[in-house]
Amino acid sequence: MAALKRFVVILDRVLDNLGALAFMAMMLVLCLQIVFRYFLQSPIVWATPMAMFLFVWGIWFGGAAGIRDENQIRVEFAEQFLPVRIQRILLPLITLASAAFLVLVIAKSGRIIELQSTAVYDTLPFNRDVLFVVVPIVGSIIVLQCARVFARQVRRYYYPETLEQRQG
Amino acid sequence: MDIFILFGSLLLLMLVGMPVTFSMGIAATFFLFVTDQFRLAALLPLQMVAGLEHYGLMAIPMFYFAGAVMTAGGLTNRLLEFARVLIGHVPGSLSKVNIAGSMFFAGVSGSCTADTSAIGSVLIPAMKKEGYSGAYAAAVTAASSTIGHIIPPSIVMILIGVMMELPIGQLFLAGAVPGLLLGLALMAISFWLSVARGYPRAERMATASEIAQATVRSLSALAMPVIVIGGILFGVVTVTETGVIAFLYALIVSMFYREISLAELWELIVETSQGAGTLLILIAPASFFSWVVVTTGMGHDLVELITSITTDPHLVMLLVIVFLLIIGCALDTVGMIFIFVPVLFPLTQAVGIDPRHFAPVFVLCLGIALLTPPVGIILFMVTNMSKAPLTEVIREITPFFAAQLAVLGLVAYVPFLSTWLPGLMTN
Repeated sequence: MAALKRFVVILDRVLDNLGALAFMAMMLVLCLQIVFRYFLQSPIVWATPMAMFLFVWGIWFGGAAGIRDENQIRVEFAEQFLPVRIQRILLPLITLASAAFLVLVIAKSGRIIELQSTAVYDTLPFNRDVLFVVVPIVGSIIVLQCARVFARQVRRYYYPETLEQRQG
Repeated sequence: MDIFILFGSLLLLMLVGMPVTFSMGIAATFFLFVTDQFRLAALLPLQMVAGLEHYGLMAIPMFYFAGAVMTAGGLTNRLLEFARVLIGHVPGSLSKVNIAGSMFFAGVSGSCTADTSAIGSVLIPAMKKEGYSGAYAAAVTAASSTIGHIIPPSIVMILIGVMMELPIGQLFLAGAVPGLLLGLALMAISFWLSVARGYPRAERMATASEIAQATVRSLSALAMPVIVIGGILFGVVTVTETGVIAFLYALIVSMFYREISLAELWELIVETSQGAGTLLILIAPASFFSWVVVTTGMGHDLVELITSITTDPHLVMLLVIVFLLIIGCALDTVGMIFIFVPVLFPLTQAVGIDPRHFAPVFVLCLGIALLTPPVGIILFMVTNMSKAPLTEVIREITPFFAAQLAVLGLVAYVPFLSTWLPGLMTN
C-alpha cells in the first residue's frame, strides 16, 4: 500500500512537471521562431511542427491533471436535483463510462500509430507516429486517473468516514 | 432522426453530469454504433490528436500565462487604481471603476472567470465597505466581467476561429467595438442607478500628477492590449505570435519589477499547463464530434431544414439568438462553443451573414449565458463572493442584463459595428 501511494505521488509530480515542461518548451520554440524570422531574417523551418508536437503532448498531460483533480468542465445543476441514492450510483458510473471510452480510444490507436509510422515530418527527425503515441501513453495515465476518481467517489458516497480519516 | 440521436444523447450525457470532454466523444461513438457506422470509430484517435494540431490554438496557453503572470504581479490593483483616478469623481465611482477595470483586464486575460475572481475579490469587499449593497456589488462585477469574452485577446474568439477556419485576428478586431459598447452601456446603467440611489463618489477629481503617476504604474498592463490589437491591426504578426509577444512581455515585466520568484514562475507554468490542458483537451473529442456531424451530412441537413423555413438573415439571426439565450440557461459556455459553433456558423453563412458579424453576436450570447441561472457560473461566483442572497443578486443584475440585451440587439442588426475594424485590416 505504501509503495502504491509513493507511486501515485511520483506519478502526480511527473505529470505536472511534464505538462509544464512541454508548454515551456513550446513557448521557447515559438520565441526562437519569432527572433529568427523577424530579427535575423532567417526563419527556422522546424519550429512550427516542433511547437505543435509539444503543444499536443502538453494538452494531453494538462488534461490528465485536470481529470485527476476533477476540474473538468461539466454541467452540474441537474445532478443537484437528483436524490442522493441516484447520485451515488450515477456519478461513479459516469467515471467508469469515461474510462471505458478512453480504453476504446487506446484500443483503436494501435492501427493509427502503425499507419502514421510511415508518415514523415519534413523538418523533424522522427515520424508522425511519435505524435500519436500520446494516445496510448497519456490515455493510459488518464484511465488510471479515472480509477482514482472512481475510488474517491466510492469513498465519498459509500464510506465517507474513511475519507474524513484520510483528510484528518 | 439522426440529429436527435446525436444531439439528444449529447445533451442527456451533459445534463446527468458527465464531463463535456467525454460527453462529446461518447455521444458521437454511440451515434455511430446505433446507426451501424461503428467502423468509423477507428478514426477516433486520429481526430483526437489531429484536431489539436492547429497553429492558432497555441496562442491560448500563452495569453493564459501572460494573464496569470501579470495578475500574480499585482496588476489588478494597479489597473483598478488607474480606473479610480480616471473616473473616481463620478457618482457611484467604485461601480464604474469595477466596469472600467474589467475592460482593461479583458485586454490582458481573455477570460471571464479570471476577470471575475481578480476584480471581484478586490472590489466586492471594497464596494460593500463604502456602503454599496453586496447584491449590487455582485451584480456590477458579474455583468462587467462578461466583457472578458469579447474584448481582444478573447479565448472564445480563438476557439471559434480555429473551429471554423476563420482569421482569428479579424475575429479579435470584430469584438473590439461591441466590447467597448457593452462597457459603455453598463457604465450608463450604473451611473443612472448610482444617481438614483445616491451612491458615494470621490470627494475631488484626481489631479494631473495623480493621473500621471497611476498611468506610469499601470503602463505595463495597459500596454498589453495595445500590443495585441496593434500587432494584429497593422498585420505585423499573427495571433499566435502576438501570444508569444504577450508571454515574453509579461515575463520581462515580472522580472523587471521582481514581482515573482522563479519558484512562483514555475508554479504559474504548471497552473497554465493544467488550466489550458483542461480547457483544450475538449477539442480532442469535439473534433471527432464535429467530424461525425460533417461526415454524416447532418450539418448540411440542418442548414437545409432551417433555410427551407426561411432564408431571411434578420429572421435567422433572431431565431439563433433566441435559441442561444434559451439553451444558454442550461448549458455551460464551453459546451455551447463546441456543440453549436460547427452548426450555427455554416447556417448563418448560408443565409449571407458575415462570420465576422456573427462571431461577436455569438460571444455576446455566451456572456449573457454566464449570468443566467441555473448554469450561470459567474452569477454563482459573485453571489458566493458577496455573501448576498441569490434572488437579490438576480434582481440587481436585471438592469445590466437589459443593457446587455440592448447591445446584443444593436450588434446583431448593425453589422457595421463589428465589421468596420476588421474591414480596415483587410483594406
